[in-house]
Amino acid sequence: MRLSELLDEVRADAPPPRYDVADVVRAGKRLRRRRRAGWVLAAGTAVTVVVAVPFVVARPETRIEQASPASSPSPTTARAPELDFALSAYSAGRLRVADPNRWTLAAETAVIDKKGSEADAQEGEITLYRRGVDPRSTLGDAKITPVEAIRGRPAYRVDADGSPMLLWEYADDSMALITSRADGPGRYALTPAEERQVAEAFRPGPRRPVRIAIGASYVPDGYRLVEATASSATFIPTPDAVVRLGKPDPGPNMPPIATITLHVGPASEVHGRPRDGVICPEGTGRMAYCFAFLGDSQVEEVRSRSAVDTVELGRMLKSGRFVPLSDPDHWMPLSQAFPASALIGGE
Amino acid sequence: MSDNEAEFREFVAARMDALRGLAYLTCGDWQLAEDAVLAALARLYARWGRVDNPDAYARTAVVRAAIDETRRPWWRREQSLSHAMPDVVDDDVTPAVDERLRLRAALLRVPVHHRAVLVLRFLEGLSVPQTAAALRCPEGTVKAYTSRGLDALRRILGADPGIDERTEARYEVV
Repeated sequence: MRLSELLDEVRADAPPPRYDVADVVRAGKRLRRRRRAGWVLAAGTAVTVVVAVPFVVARPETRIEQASPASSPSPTTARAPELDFALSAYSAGRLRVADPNRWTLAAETAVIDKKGSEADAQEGEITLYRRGVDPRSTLGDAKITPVEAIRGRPAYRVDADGSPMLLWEYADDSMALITSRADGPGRYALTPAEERQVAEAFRPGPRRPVRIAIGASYVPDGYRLVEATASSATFIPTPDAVVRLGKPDPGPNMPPIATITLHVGPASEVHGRPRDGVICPEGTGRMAYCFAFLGDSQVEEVRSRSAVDTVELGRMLKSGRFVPLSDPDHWMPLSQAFPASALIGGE
Repeated sequence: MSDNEAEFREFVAARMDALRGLAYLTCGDWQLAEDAVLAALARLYARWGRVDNPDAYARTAVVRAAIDETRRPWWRREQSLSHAMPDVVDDDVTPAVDERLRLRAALLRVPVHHRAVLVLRFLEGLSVPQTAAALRCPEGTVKAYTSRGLDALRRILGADPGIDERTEARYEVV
């Protein structure tokens, strides 16, 4: 076996593609339009994520007990996260921080890009962790070095395998992290000075509700929302969700757990010709998978890994609600997109 | 549809599968690999007609984009399966298959920048100068990463991976 044979080997094992030629052309045209319009985002992100336009809804803050002895050896009280964002778009020198595009139990994340049209990809990301969530526990062997305070609060340079990051306390017991795009060995889109500039320019703003283009009035029993973008929502079993409270989001190397993901995106050859009803293809291995067309060019999909069957997924899809991604003014508040029983802190 | 777009579509249709495989071997995750390919080809679309060698551009852009994906902080990388397709479960444990799986798994354990160099040099057959240009780093770095990457593979496998630098680098100009 030679290394050069691996490529053929891998191609033979490849799962069905998610994107086809038409998707690529659409992404290219979108990128070109954005360049001409003077603002840019990573093309891959543009296809799957629409930047969420924020805010308000202030659900009463709730507190729940980590009650599962099996998954929580030392029961503690953790705060159920608000379904809102604290970060609003702002500028820092040549850089622009967009509105957040991802909500998780632990944090909210926004893209950093360059102002103007000289760039073609996001430069980095800023993540605001919720109060009490300390990302340092997930940094592994990263070197963490105190640096000059930011707005009078502790700040740290983080080096993980050479990648420079800036970690700082942006409010009492609340940490934020800036990361940079890597362009090759030792080459990063943001310098430490630029990361500091972004951090120093940040001010927590009024909280705004997370909004989402899809929802469902039915979510299989025992699953809770742990992550959302404008076009997707992810649910995991309640005990696993409760254990995550107050902790950073787990990394990809964690053992997989049962997951249900609802998602809306462009239709591709994988979905076949547009047709009515809920379609649940067979032969998807451990992944239960169903989808339904939303018009000719969009599909709503729901997938489940080692969790529930296609009957349940089909029921979830049939209960779905969808607002076009192109109409962010009418996206639903995340707090109203799913049953309360599917939300941490809900019934 | 313009001639330019027709040409681009033809190019993508012919090369997309290979680029997906290349990205997967670089980043070790099909979802990230596909996102990397989409991002790289979208950039190529925006520059189509102004790139001398689209094939070389696409290969290097895909590898760079795949590295980029892997450098997203692992604790925040999207865990959702919003786009994940079912993993291929290969129950075949014949010796030949086992060997391939071991080699593939070993490659994915090599540090990402070393892996990128190995992928470009021994899978894509780029020379040291070509690899250096693709990754925008000095030739000396490529040589060092090649050596360290192969050493890492040997350590992980507990044996020689069977790579002959002189013959595997197909386009090497020595």
